Parts: sequence; structure tokens; C-alpha cells
Amino acid sequence: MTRWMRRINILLIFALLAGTLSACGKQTENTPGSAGSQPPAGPSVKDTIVVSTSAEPTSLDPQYGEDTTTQRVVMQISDTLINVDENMNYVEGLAEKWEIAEDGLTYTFYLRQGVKAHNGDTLTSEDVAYTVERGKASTLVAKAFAAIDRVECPNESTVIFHLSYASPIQLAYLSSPSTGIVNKRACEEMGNEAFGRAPVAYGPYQVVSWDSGDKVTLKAFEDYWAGKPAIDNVVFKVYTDSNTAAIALQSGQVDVVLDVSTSDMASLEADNNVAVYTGDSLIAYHLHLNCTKSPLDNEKVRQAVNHAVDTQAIIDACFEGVGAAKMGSFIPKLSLSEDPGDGSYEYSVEKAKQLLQEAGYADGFSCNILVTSGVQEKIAQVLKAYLQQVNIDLTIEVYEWSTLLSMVESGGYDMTILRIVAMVPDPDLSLYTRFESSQVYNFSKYSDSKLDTMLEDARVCPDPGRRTQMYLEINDYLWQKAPTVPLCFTTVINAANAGIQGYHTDPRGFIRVCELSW
Amino acid sequence: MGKYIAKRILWLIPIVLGVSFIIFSIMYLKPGNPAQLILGSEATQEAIDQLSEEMGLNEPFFVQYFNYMKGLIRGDLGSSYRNGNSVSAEIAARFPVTLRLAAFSILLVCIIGIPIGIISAIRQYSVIDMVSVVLALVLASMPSFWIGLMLMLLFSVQLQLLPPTGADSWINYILPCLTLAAVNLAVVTRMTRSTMLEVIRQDYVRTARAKGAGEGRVVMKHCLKNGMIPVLTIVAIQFSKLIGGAVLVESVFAMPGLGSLLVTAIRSSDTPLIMGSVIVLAIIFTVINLVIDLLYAVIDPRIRAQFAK
Amino acid sequence: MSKIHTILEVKDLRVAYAGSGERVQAVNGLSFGVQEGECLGLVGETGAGKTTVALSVMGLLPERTSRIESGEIIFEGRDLLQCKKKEMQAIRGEKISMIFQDPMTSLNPVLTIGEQILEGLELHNEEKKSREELIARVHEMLELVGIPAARYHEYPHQFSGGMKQRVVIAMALACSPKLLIADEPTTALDVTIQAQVLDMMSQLRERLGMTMILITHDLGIVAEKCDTVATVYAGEIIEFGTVEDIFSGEAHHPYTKGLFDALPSLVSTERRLKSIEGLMPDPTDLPAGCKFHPRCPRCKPICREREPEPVQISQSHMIKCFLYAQGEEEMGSR
Repeated sequence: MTRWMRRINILLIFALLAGTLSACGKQTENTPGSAGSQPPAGPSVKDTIVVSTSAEPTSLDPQYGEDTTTQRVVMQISDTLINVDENMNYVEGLAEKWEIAEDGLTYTFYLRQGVKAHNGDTLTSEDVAYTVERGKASTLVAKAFAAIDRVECPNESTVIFHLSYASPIQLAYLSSPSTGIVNKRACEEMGNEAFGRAPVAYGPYQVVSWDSGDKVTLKAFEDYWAGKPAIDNVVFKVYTDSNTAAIALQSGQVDVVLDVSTSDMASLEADNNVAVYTGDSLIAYHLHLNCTKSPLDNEKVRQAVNHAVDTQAIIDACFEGVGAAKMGSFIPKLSLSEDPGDGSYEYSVEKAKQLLQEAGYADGFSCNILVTSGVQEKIAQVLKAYLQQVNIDLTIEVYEWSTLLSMVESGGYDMTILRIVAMVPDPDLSLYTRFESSQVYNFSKYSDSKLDTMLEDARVCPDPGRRTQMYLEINDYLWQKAPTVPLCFTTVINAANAGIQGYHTDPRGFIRVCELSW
Repeated sequence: MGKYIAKRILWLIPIVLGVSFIIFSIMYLKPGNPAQLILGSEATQEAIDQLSEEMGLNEPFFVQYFNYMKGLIRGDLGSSYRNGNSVSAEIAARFPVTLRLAAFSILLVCIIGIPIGIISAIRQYSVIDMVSVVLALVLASMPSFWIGLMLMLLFSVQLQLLPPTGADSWINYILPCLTLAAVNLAVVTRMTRSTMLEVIRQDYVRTARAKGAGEGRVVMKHCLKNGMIPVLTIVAIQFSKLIGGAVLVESVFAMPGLGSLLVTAIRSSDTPLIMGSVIVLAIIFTVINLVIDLLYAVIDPRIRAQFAK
Repeated sequence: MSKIHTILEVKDLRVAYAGSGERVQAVNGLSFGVQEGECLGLVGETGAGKTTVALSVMGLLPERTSRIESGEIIFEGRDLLQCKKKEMQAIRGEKISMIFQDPMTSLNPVLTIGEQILEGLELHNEEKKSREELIARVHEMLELVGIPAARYHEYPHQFSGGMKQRVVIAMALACSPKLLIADEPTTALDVTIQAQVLDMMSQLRERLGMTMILITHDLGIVAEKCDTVATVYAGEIIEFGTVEDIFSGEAHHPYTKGLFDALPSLVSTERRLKSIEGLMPDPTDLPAGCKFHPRCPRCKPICREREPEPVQISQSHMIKCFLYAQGEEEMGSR
């Protein structure tokens, strides 16, 4: 009996040791020049750039990922028909030129010649047609292709989109990574699942490996149509903790940090090896007022709330003054060709009180606000202090996101805070999903048929000049009706190793590595 | 003995069934629609409805549960809602990192904590005893992510000695394992100390001394083995906790482990991933418990005798 | 008369325990001697200080809480109280062995009994015998105490109480010590097993020519097995003599007389047992003068003031009591 026990003893110990040791064994992954395995000291190896991102991409397939952290990786791999430059103007991409018919229902694209895919194939209109077809089938990006009714390929280098309705936003969508063109042959051969891990497309980089939850490694594509990119290897590494990312940048383990938190800015700016870049974004925070519930169903009350809140104070308190900028309009400047001006309500306790009195709430009222923890909670606390001054008693309720969603659905709240992220610089994307009456994310539950019509009309207006005017009108209308208190536009803050040339921020939160060099 | 092991392994079946049912029910009853979470805050109602339909989220509870269990029996843990990857692949990718993290940390805790506990017990109320108890308590009171960040700032930024993040080679594990060890040291040290104090007072220790044994031999040969059983229990519990619970450290040190996988899955209401992770964790805990029970038998002949029955 | 050699002599030993501010006077000027080859019985109630004396001889008093304040313990010409730790470790188990009261807890449950007996041999292996030789000796010892040698690999929990105590004895005798101190070795055992174990101990003692100190509160055992007897009260030896002196003699210390009177008698019919009035004195607060005086039926005024000196009633018999101070004998009576 004892001998057997002893044998089991030895076996167990060996099993434990073997398990631990074998887990140690397969460690050095073949990531070319990965800066992560070297002890940090000064600038990284110059043929690699390591970019920190706050979350893992959901898929590398352009038509199966639609959030910022996914698209910023996808755009290195897959090129679109149209690109945008620093000022969000449209420039050529895979298409050399394009024509839009007067009625806005026909888009003709002339493809560049001799564009190579990662597998050596040449780009043809068939690939574009295939991309559109699979895009429409994917719930995630269907809206980017929704207007396209059918695709015509008169020859290998010409593609014609026939739209079922005029959709000026279509150009913007065609510059977004969700419409990145994929290689038809490879996609059909690999099947969607494998394709999502290592897509074959026409962009400057191709996929080397994707270590789940850890990093995505790319290498330069020799035959890229615009010339091989200057930096050979790109690693997108996931850092969920922004402090850690900042420290990694300072110690040289990482070269670019895309989601810098305001608390790290001071130490990064002080570091000579690091350059901090800021720029405008397409992201806004709104304080949504429940327009179906008294007293916020009263326009004057909502305007009073606008007067009562000093948004600059919120920017200072919750974004350290640098992470956000004052919001003078409902539409970011970058999304309009004309400056919408500043329509915001002046911070004035007297005006707020006066309006409340006119509305019959001289003594104020109580209300609650639903928020998630983190930045939203902080904003709510500042709001509470300001609303107190006009006798509005605010109760702050913190919930996890899913729960908050269901509470909003059931309607038992007065206020809530919600961000809006415009994936492309088109005014519709900063308005429609928040203010059109049937939208799920219309957290103000604002239902105004006049506004609905204005939004619908502006959406499909083919004349750019006229369209801009319509949006300016919508902007003014929204200020007047005040379904929300626009709080601020966030600022894009990136930080990079000082040795990197050619870096600038992208309001969509993206990075174009092929434009960078050491 | 073989029968005993077989019985314990058979217990895995009801455990997995129970765990899967409970988690599935929680996910089903919890507010929030996974499809909605996937599509983000700019989605339209139509898109949400369509995706929900595609994902089979509109089926009644038992249909969904049954479909899941059908796959589970075949060993198929399903695909993640978030990115469509096979759940088993995701877990398998993260598991080595977590195993290394937990194993090395526990090893550190044992190497440091158990000797200190023994010394504290032998030299009770001495300077070493007082200092070690206080130090262990202080370390246990500090939040793990704070210790981690401080270590990182010191060793990676200021001294430039160690890489701050990542899980590429064994060097990367030094700081996170130190962090985890620091936080878990107190329990093991205290337990070792109190068990040893008890054991030292036992009559058989007096007998050993009466035979002329020196203190060293008394401790190593007589006290250690007797005191190990409660300590082993604690170590096993700590190890189990580390396997699924090192989330903060994983986040701070950017290590792709099971803990952060689970948290991300919960945040996105990614039911298959949550189910798969929890089931795998339950199996791991069960196996750890079994191994520990067997180790008891190895250490203590009285327990061994019980097995013989 | 053959040469009588005093193997152990305790002279005026004083030991105190310090705990939670109080000072417990456990042993107060205790002296006695043991001749080679004889068996001394140390008799007394619980708390008299018998175990403390034994532990002092062994050097096993708890370090932090106890203090040997004065005295000498001479063994084979050396004062044990002056010995260093290593010297005492060499003596313990080899020259002087001790066995304790409760066999159930005296053995390490996770080691085989063979290993535990072997340990003593390994610790004192000056002749550098090989492991096989030592194991052979262990088998010898097991046979000696009546345990089949095949049981070497068994664990303590597989033995009964009596067998365990035999193992303990085998452990203690493995190195053929000159002196064995047995602290209530049979108290925890059944009466029938008691007899067996005690018989075995006597046999071994004779065979090995070993000296023994037997600590007990059972006068019956003392009568059967001991050569000399010392009565211990409040940390002092108040009466010392041969077994004949104590059991058949006329003169006794009132305490000893009280002990005998308390024994139930097989011959006479009594309605009630006679007990000694009062309790053992509080060792933190001992009475002045003779420590027994508060309970003594024959207390005289002088007893309250001065401590009695030892009085040699005969060559072998000592009593520490003022009743015998002038050498007068009194009729032992009821």
C-alpha cells in the first residue's frame, strides 16, 4: 500500500512539474523584432513599430468589425476606394477618380491599374462587387452599403454603384475601413472564419499572426500600390490599462499610444523621448434629458438646465481641461464645410432661474440621472453641484452598461449621459441615431416629426451646398429645442516616441502606419 | 484508491451540469442583449433585431440551453459572440499564460512565506516574527494593481531593469509574479506560523527532544510534515484563486490571461465565452481539489488508512 | 556490601516559572540521590513538582518561561545545569532517557515506529555503525518489548495504547541509557495493561542494569516496583527512605501518613475514605514555615514560623518535620 502511495506521489509531482515546465517551453514566439522581449532602453529597433491599443480587434475582416479599435488595425491591411487626408477631404484610394451623377443615384469609380493583393492577384471590379455583396450580408456593416442597390462592372477597372436612394453619406462610408476591398478568390477559398483571422486585401500591410488577447503582428507588403511602407513591421499590442501603456511608452516597449488618458499627459509631456499629439475628434458627450417625462418635457426647463450647467467646468474637472473641448454645435466642425458657429447657452444661474420660474418651477424639482462608472459618474457629480444652484436636486444612479440600457428602455429616468461616436465625418452620423424619434439610442426620447423630416431630407440631399445649409438649420433647431445639453467634444490624444516622423492625429481615432517612418 | 479517483472524476459531470445551468440562467435573465452590445451605440433597431435573430437569441430558454449542451457533450464550447472565434481556441490561447502566472506566484509565496512562517513560530515574539507578521499584513492590505504599478515604475522606468509588460519570455513574469506573491503572502505565512506553533507544542515534539534531537531536526523532521496539511489546503485555495482571479494584475501588466478573458466576456455579455471559461475553471478547481486530497494521503498515514477502507 | 555508586544527585534545586506577571515556585530546595541500579519512586500529588524535577534533570524545561534559580544536578560527576546545549543533547536519549505520561500523543503520527526508534540510535551513533546495524538493533528492541519486528513499518495509529507505550519504552532504551526517568508511564493505561508494562520495565531494568526514577501518585506501584521512595510536597522532598522504611516503618511525615490513610482498605470496613484536609498550596503564594502546616493535624506553633530541617530517623530514612526534630519517636497511630 505504501509503495503504491509513493508511486502516486512521484507521479503527481512529475505531472505538476511537467505541466509547469511544458508551459514554459513554448515561449519565444517568432514575432520579427518584437520589442516586447527585450529589456527596455532607448528607441526600439527601427524596422518595427509597436502601437498600443485599448482593446483587441473583434475581427480583421473589414466587413465584420465596426468599432474603432478593430478598424484601426483593419485599415493597415485593407485599402478603400477613397481615402481622406488630414483635413478629412476625400482623396484617391484604390479608385483613381470617380464621378457622381446629378441625381446622386449613380457612382462611377475608375480603379487604379496594377494594384496587387497580398496573394499576388490584381485588383479588379469583381473584387469590389464581391466586397459590396458580402458587406450587405453582414449585419455589422450593412448600413455602409445599404444605399447600394446593385453593382455594375462594365470592365475590369470600372465599377458602377446604382443607389436606390440618394445618399451623400455614401462617399464617407466608402472611405471607412468597413468598406475595405477584399480579395474575392482568397475569401472564397479560406471561408469567412479563417479570413477574419488573416484577411487578404490590398492594403500596405499583411497579417503575420494574431495572438488572441495579446497582439496582432503585421508586415509590410512589398508590392503595395503606393510603394512599400517605410516601416517593415507593425505590432498592435493590447493594453487595457492606460497607465501601463504610458509607462510602456516611456520605457521604450511601445512606440505609439493611441488612447492616452488625461492623467498620464503631464508625465508624458515632461518626457523628452515622447511627443504628445492632440487633435479634434468626432466624439461628443451629451447630457440627455428625458423629453417624455415631466418636468423635462417642458422646453423652457430644458433650456434652463442648459444655462445652469457650466460645461467648461466639466471639461476642467473630468477631462483635466485637456481631454475635451467646448461644444459650440451639435455637429463637429470637421464634418461640415462651413463653420456652424457657437450656439451654446451661456452659463448663467439667473437666466436659468428665470426660465424655471416662467415654466412654473421656481422652487426647482428632483430628478435622477443614470450613468456608468468612470467618466460618466464624474460628470454627473459636477452636474449635481451646478444644478443644486438652481434648486434642482439630482440623484446619481450608477449602473453597469447592460442594465443601464434596459433601464433606459423602460423609461424610468430623467437624465442620462451618452457619448456619440461618428465613424465617418458626416453630420448625419452625429445626429440621426440620437435625435430621430424611432432610434434605439435616442436617449432623450425626443419625438418631433418636424425634426425627423429635416433629418431625413438632409440625409438624401444630393447638393452639397444645400445639404450643408440644411444641417446648419438642424443645428440651430436642436439648440432651441434643447433635447440634450451638449457637454463637450473629446480631444484625440496620442503619444509617440519622439523619433517617429510624420505623425498626426486622426479624428476618427485611427493611425496610418504607412505614412510614418523612423 | 483507483476507485476513489474514478469516483471523484465522475463528480465532474454533475458539477459541469450544475455550473452550466446556473451560468446560462444568469446570462439569460440578466438585462442586456448581446447583439445590441456587439453592434455598439450607433446601431439601429433593425440591425439589432436582425443580429439577434441570426444569433438565435430569440429562442426560448430551454431551446438555447439544449443547443448549447448538445455542443458541450461533443466537446464543442461554441463560438464567442464578440468575434466568432472558437471558445476553446480562445481559452487554450490564454491558459498557458495564466498557468505560468499562477504557478510561479504560488511557488514564490511558498518559498518565501513558509520558511518565514516557520521561523516566526520557532522564534515567537522575536523581531523576525513581529516584523514579518506586520509586513505581510501591510502587503495584503495594498491593492494589487497599485503594487504592480509601483514595481513597474521602479524596475522598468527608473531602473530600466525589467520589461514592464507582455508575456513573451520568463523575464516578463518576474514583476507580475512578485506582485501576486506580495498580496497573497500574508495568508500562507500566518497559516504556517499558527500551525507550526500548534505542532511545536505537541507531545511527540517533546519526545523527540528527549531523545536528544536538536532544534533543527525537531523542526524539519517532526514539525514540518505534521504542519503541512492546513498549509497545503491554503496554498491550494490560493492557487485556485489565482487561476481565475488575477484580473487586475493581468490588466496592469498587459498579460493575456484567463482572468481578463472572463471579465471582457462578462462586459460584452458574451455567453458562450463566459460559459466555456467558467466550466473550464470549475473543472480545474475540481482537479486541484482532487490532487490536494491525494497529497493529504501521501503526507498523513492516518488519512491513507482511511482510503484503504 | 558492594560499592554503592550514586549515579544522580540533586542538591537544593530551586526552579520557578514566570508567567503573566506571576512567579510560580515549582521546586523549592529539593534534594535527593539515586544509587546505581535502584529504582526510586517519586510520590506526590499532582502539582507537587515531580515532573519539573524530571524536566530539570533532562534539561527540557521551557526556555522562556522557566528559570533554574539555584542548585546542582550531578550526574556521573558532572553538574548537568552547567552543561551546554550540545552536551545535554548528547546526554539525552543516550545516558539519560525519559518517557512521558500519555503514549497516545507521545509518538509522531506521520513517521513509522521503526523510524522513530531508529532516530534515537542515529542521533547517538558515535561508533558510526551502518544503517543496517542500527535497524537490526531496532528489531532487537522491538522484540525486547514484545512487539514483532515485522511491525517496524507500521504507524502509531495502528497500535493500541499499551503497545504504543511499549514502543515509547523501546525508543527510550534503544541506546542503553544509564538512567531512565519514567513520568507516570502507566497512568493512561488500563489496569491490566499497566501490570504488563510495569513488569516488562522491571525485567528490562534488571537485564540492562539500569537505574530508574519512577514518578507516580500510585502507592501500589511504588510498593511493588521501587527500592527507594521520596515523597514530594510543594516542591520539596519531605520524606525519603527505602520501601520498607516507608511502607512498614512506624515513623512518617504527617503527609505521608495522610496518603496511606487515604487508601481504601481491603480488610477493614469503612463508611468513608479519609482524605487530607485542604488543598495543595498555591505555588505563587506558598505558606511560611513548613509548607504542610495549614493541613497538618499535628501542627505545632513552630511549624508556622520556621522551615523544618531534614532529620535522619535511621541511616536510610529521612523526614523533614519538627515532630522528629529532637529524635523522639512517636507512636504512629490513628
